[in-house]
Amino acid sequence: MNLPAKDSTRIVAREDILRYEIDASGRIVSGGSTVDAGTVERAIRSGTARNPNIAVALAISPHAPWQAVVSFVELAQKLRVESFSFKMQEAE
Amino acid sequence: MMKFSRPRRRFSVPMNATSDVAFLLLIFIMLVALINYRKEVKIDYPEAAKAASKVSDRKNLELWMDKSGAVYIDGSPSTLAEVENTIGELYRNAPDTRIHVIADRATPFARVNDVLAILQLLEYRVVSFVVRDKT
Repeated sequence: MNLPAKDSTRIVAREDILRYEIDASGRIVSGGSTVDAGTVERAIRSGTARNPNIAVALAISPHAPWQAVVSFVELAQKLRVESFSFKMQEAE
Repeated sequence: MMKFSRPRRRFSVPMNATSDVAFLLLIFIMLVALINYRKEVKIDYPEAAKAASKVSDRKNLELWMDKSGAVYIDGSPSTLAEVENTIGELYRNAPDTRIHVIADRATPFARVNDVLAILQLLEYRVVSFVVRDKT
């Protein structure tokens, strides 16, 4: 995996970004409600069918276990998401 | 017939020298123990169904993080400042060295992010996250 440069920028239309969060207990959250990996997979598949250059942005709770992050990265790689980024949420 | 007998000399080991030898031996053993010291960190690897790639670069640096968030460089306990210095040295001297980030599956993301932030700050790009294949 290549980490992005700290000042790298890329312009993406808002509707082409799928945003997810991982909460402190490792659950995936989308639009305020918890979703499972299957739902995320279906959403990303339909998003990439609509636009192959869709971006997935993941915001991770500082307390989320590393396994949850690895599982999400694994899912993004499995679905061949070209543009995937993750960052830590501000401290709660 | 006269009988000559050689006066027998009593053999004795100087005890004050043995303490010196014992002391030197002790120092030697302690040095060898320090050289061979490598703390094994209990890491419960995160699992992934299929690792993205299997790398076998000869030049590797392992950054371990246990579930309490303690960081180890190739098995030695380290601070984040030491991690930054080590990566800075690598960047200057051997930029093709692959850094393996090995974090326990229960490590809070904030602790992993501390190390990722250093890698990002130094723009070090040859990085792998180590996982265990799901079986």
